[in-house]
Amino acid sequence: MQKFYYLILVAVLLGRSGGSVLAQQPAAGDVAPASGSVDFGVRMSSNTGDPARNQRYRDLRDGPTVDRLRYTHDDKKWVFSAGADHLGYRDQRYFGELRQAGKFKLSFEWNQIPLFNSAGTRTLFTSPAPGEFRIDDSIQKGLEAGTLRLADVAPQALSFDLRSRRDIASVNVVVTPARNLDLSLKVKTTHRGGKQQWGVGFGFSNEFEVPAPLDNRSTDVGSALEWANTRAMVRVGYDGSWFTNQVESIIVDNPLRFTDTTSAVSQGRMALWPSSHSNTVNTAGSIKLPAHSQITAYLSVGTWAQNAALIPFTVNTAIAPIPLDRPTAEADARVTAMNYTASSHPLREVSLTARFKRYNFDNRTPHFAITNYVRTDQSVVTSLLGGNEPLGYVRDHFDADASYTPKAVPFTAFRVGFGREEIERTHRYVETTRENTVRASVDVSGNAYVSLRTGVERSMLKGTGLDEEVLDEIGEQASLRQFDISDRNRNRLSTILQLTPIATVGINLTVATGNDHRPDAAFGLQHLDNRTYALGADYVPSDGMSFGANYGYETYKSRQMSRQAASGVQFTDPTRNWFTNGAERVHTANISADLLTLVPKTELRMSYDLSRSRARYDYVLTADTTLVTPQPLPVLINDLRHGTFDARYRLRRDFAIGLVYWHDSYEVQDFALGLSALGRIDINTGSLLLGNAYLPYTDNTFMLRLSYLW
Amino acid sequence: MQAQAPPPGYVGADTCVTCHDAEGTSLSHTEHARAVNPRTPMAGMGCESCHGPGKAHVDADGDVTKIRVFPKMAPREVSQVCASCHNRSEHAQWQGSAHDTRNLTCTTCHSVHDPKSEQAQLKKTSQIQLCGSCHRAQTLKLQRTNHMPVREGKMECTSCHNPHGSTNLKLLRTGNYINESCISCHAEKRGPFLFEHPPGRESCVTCHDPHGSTNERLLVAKVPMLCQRCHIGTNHPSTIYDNAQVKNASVRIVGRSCVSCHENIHGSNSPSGNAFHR
Repeated sequence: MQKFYYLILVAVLLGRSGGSVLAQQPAAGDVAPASGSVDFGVRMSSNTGDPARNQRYRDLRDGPTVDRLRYTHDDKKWVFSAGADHLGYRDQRYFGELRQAGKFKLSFEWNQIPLFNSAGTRTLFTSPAPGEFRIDDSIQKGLEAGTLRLADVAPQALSFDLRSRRDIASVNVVVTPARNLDLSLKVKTTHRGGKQQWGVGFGFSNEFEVPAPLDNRSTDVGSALEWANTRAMVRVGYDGSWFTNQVESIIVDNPLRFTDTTSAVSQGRMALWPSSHSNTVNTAGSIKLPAHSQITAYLSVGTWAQNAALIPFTVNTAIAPIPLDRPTAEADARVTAMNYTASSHPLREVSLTARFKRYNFDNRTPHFAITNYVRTDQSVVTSLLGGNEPLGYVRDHFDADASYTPKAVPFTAFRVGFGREEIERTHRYVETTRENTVRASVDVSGNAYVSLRTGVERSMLKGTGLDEEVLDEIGEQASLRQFDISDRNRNRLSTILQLTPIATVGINLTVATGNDHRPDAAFGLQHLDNRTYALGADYVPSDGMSFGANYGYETYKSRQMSRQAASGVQFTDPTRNWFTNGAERVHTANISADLLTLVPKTELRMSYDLSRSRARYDYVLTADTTLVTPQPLPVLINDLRHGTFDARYRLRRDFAIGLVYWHDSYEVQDFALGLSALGRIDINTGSLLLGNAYLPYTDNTFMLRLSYLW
Repeated sequence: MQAQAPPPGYVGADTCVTCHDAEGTSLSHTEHARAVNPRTPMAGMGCESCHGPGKAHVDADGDVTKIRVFPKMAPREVSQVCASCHNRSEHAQWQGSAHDTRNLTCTTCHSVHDPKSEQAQLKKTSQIQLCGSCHRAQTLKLQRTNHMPVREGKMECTSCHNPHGSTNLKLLRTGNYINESCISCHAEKRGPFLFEHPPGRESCVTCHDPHGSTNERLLVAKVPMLCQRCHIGTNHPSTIYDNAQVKNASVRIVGRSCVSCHENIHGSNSPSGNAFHR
């Protein structure tokens, strides 16, 4: 019956559009001021397996669809354009622009981006109010008394779709009151609504997930006044951003407890994202100087702040309330950024560039004194650090590059460069890091037959001021190892070769390698290597005919070291050391063909994409180990395939009928996130998850499409 | 196209198209030809706004050495011509930018006379095709299981990057440091928070690969292994989570692992949130 409805609809649409086509056909040679196109039809799909992942960011539901609509009216002085995609569906988009050439421009967009996480998600929790998650009292009592097990009550869980959506509205206005002056205003507001997977723990091994509400809005405003002529530019601007969260905390029942004690709790309360805002003013300018030189400068000063009311240390009624140092966060940071660039082209063969950049995140959040806090709402713990530690940093970055293009090889630039980054931090284990980078490249561009871009880079990062005392206080191994700040030697090589031996054939080759070594890292990440090889070819025998094939192979390897130890003698026992060797290999392939002129009046497009990943994490012990031999983790498998076939037959010059077919399939084996791990929501005796698992799927989607141009 | 007689050394666009008709026709479909806009080349000296005075070229029977022929010019000389107009807003930071210093120029990516894209006069039909011709490692990652909605058409390379130069790193379009770019969409993670997770505050890409990953939430490695790259403390952070733990359905490796309990890993506003449990 449903298919019959589609056929009727198509017939009606065909008839209606056919009638309007002749009336609107422009005479040959005329340039119509108004033009447009619409793609519409019906879509049908079949799915086996997970219905969510393939629709993660889109809406492929069956039904009539207006897939693409475009309209433009251009009378040379004024231009109006409007369009829409996927009308009426969750991923719909509408946009428009009105422009008076050289005077005024107004654009608008409404864009919906869905996020479909899971269709088979289940929960025992009910939500009587936003941010409140309750379990039936009888279940809590039964589980506490031991007369029930989670396995007994889990089947009562209700199924729901775990999804959210961003609705983004934006308006941009540019006014040009004088030839060299622009005044611009941008306003973007994004509402995010729906549900999000959120975990709440009540002590070790007990984990409960709830569908936390998403109901927040970000509003961003940007404005600028910019003057520029052929020699100079000056700009002043203001940017503001306000994030407002309607649900700033959640309260969640502990399914395992009905009564509060000083070591267990019937419910927990957790802070969510606080509402916040930022305000920034900025100015920029550039001026051209003799010898093809230019200086560009930029400065911005801003504040980031949030002052949300703080939730109490705990909602456990058996624990005496601990007074808050202050009732609100009073979190505040001053952010200052500056960039200065000087570049010069004193000789035709020589180019010089120097840049300095500073970014200062000056976190002025006052110290929040904490003597005792409540861990997971159920145990009073003495704070080791006596409160919060507002992290701040200043990053100074200097770069200088010089390139030389010999007259003998006019399209080739030889470049050498040096960079230095110095970061000063407050409240981090390493106070200062300095990274020096040297680089060289050869770039051949502008040659009709060969384009070559090859570069090498070596950098050395050194940190000083390791705060071993703090690490010791919190029970961490006192070594410099946090992989973003630890001492590191990095080598990188990349080569991109593009050959065009004849005008119709293109061949490209990419080789990129990188390795990070941390010679002094006693613990943590020690090595990280990556390799990328890609080869592709294009054949374009004529306008409207093209063939392409691309293949990529990537490998990623890592090695990190740890020590499985309790405090005391184990803490310094090297026989308890162990390593994780991570490895991933990814094959990516793509073939495509566009046959737009092979068959008269018919356009054929087809493509096939494959991404095949195998990853593994192997544990390795030392020769003199005193640890139990670990059981190997299974290999992780991720295979994603996507095929398209798109045929369009032109019934008339301005009217076409088409068929679109998409094939999507996903194979996955994931020991942590697959069906074997998350098939039950009561994955163990003390945890209740949402069942949001990585599942395989096969989707076939058909769309009968009619296209009308005017 | 020119109402007045051209100044000395110039011949006017009408003369140019007597030989270069195809180029004139192709240009007429682009914004460069919108003469009503005083900033366009056609409102100035027409074809010669970009190609330079043409009289010597015409007088020499089309001698190509007497006029600007962009394919034969050095990349930076091409950029200088384009930047004589395109020196504001999007393009203000071009000179000295990453692409400029790698000997790229405007015509590496854009075509004035033969664009293939709907917008921005690109040489390829889409940004992914264009950017991917050099940045293959990044575009390969877009095909991963976990990715931004680029394949779905909801984002494109320029949603995050400004290839013409920026005040940020990696040619990021918004803000002045990596995190400012990320929070322009993920504003909830801006804070500041009462308790900060230092690597997150310093750089989102310490843990996330925005171009795509086979790991959940675009992480650069699977958890708990990712967390164990830094956390080697007593007890559970430094424990081997092997297949025995998987079989026992330990939440420290099954599901979202460390983040299951340390949910507020991007920062917590709870006074009991020092370990991001609350």
